[in-house]
Amino acid sequence: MKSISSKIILLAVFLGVLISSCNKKHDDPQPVQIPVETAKPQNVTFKFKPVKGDSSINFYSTFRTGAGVRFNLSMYRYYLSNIKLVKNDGSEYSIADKYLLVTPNIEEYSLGEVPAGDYKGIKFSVGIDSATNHKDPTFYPNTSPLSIQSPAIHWSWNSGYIFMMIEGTCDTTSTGNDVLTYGRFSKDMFFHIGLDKHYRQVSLNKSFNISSSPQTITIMADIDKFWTNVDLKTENQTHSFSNTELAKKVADNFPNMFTVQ
Amino acid sequence: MNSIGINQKMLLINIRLLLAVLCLLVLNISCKKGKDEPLSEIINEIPSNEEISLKVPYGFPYPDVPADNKPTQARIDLGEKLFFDPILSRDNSVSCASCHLPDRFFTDNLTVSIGIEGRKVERNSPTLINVAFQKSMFWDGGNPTLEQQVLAPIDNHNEFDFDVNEIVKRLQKHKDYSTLFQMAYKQAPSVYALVRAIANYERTLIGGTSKYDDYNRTMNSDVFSESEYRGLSIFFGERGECFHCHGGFNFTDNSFQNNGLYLTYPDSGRARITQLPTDVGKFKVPSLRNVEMTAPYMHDGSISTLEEVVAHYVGGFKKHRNKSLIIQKLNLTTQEQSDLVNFLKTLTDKKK
Repeated sequence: MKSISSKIILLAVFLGVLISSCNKKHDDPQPVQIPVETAKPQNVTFKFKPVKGDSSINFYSTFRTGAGVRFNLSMYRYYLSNIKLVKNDGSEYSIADKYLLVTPNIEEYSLGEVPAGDYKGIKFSVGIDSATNHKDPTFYPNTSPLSIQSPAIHWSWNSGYIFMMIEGTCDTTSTGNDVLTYGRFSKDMFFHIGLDKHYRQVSLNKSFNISSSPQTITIMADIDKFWTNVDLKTENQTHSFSNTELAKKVADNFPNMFTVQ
Repeated sequence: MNSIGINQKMLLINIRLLLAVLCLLVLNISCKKGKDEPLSEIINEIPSNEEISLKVPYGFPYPDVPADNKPTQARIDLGEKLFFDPILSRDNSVSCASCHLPDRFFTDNLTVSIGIEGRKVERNSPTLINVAFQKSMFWDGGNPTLEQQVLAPIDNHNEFDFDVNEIVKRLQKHKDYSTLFQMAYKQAPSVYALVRAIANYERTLIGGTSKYDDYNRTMNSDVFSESEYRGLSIFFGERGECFHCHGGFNFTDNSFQNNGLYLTYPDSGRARITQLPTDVGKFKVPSLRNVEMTAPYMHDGSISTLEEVVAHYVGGFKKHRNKSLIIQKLNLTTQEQSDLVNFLKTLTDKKK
């Protein structure tokens, strides 16, 4: 009797556990289990390509602007910050404290892990927000893009970062027949765009889904668009504090020079 | 007699032995001073890294010091060594002290300073005495702190024309600096510690030992000559009204003013920073302490003597549209002008 009754008790307990677990599965609304694959955040990487129109930029060749002015490039660097990924519902995921110094030497920039979901756009700013722009750059370890770079992309005479730094040479002769000497035209060309007032936001449409694998998003920066409404023949040098109109003009071109592949 | 002779011989041998031992000892010590030995084994007294107080004279406030760069003897010593070391310039030819000479009250008495390869700097080099009390750096105030300021002459094409990261590499290879940086900032030579060490040293360059300071401390006007005392009344009174801009313990209100130096300014001054047309031709009001010894004057060194500076305010200024309204023609006799100059000369610190 004893053994039978204990067996019945065991069976009852077993059934009880079964029933309660059944209840949990069907009635308890609390922990909705989503398949692990779609819930997991994924690494997102930005890939930047300096381009001229449809073609990629070879830093050893010479180009012509739309108006036919010949030029070549020796430097094409800029800061990107304030990066946000826009979800389909309009909400934004901010990549906090991420400052990218985009240079032609480095193609890929990891943004870290981004929540899974459907996205419809990318936002970022060219330059550095005012608060960070005027912090002491010597605080940063030399692994940080905000530390003093070689060559420098920070002004010490007017403390702040250069948001976009484009340098090269160009042919300003009236006949366009300047002779390249050691790979250089006669006229030095430089665009050092900084100052808080030239901080610009860029907004790009791009549908992408973050689910099961890391994502790489390729962004192109078009030098032709940088020079929209700029005549390189006469407008080829600005330090932002000098030739201020030209600095503003090219800063206003920032939002239109980026496209996403 | 003989025994005395032997004794004398013994003494001689003893002395020779002693000398030999001494020689060996000296040799041994000089060996230790060899170039490859770390510095910490050479110097007898390791400078303390305990926070110390800056010596602030009567009537001066204690300077603002950043929390991460409190003065210590190790930091001051390191900063001083760096200040005088041309390792900071591209071709190892120019140091901070090339334009800020201690013997010349930390200026160079040149119209504009000279950087590497004889290149001319844009502006006149200001004294560093009392630089700890400056609210912003440079004639246009474009840099906010003494620490960050250090970067500017380094990468200026006309000054050191160099790259601060390259300096750090040089310092890391140097036989002494790694130890000194460790002692001062507990790290290998870095941009962070480099700029802080130099600023730490510069904050110790405090004056306040002038005849005027003697007067200010004792209120005994007998320290002045008749002429100097008349000059003081002009300076602080309605005849000169100089104190409006050049007031306070440091003889500056740290503002930016256009003093009518030109009708057209080749150097736009403060406007280069603010981009405001109303700031064209404005420059930082300089401290007048040690002004006797820091000629020539103005941001571009365009006025050679104190007499000419006073003459500028007596009626030599131009009516630039941004000229400070405070600057009005001073109606001073020749005697009063020289009285004013004589007073200004009482602001010179006694050399230590």
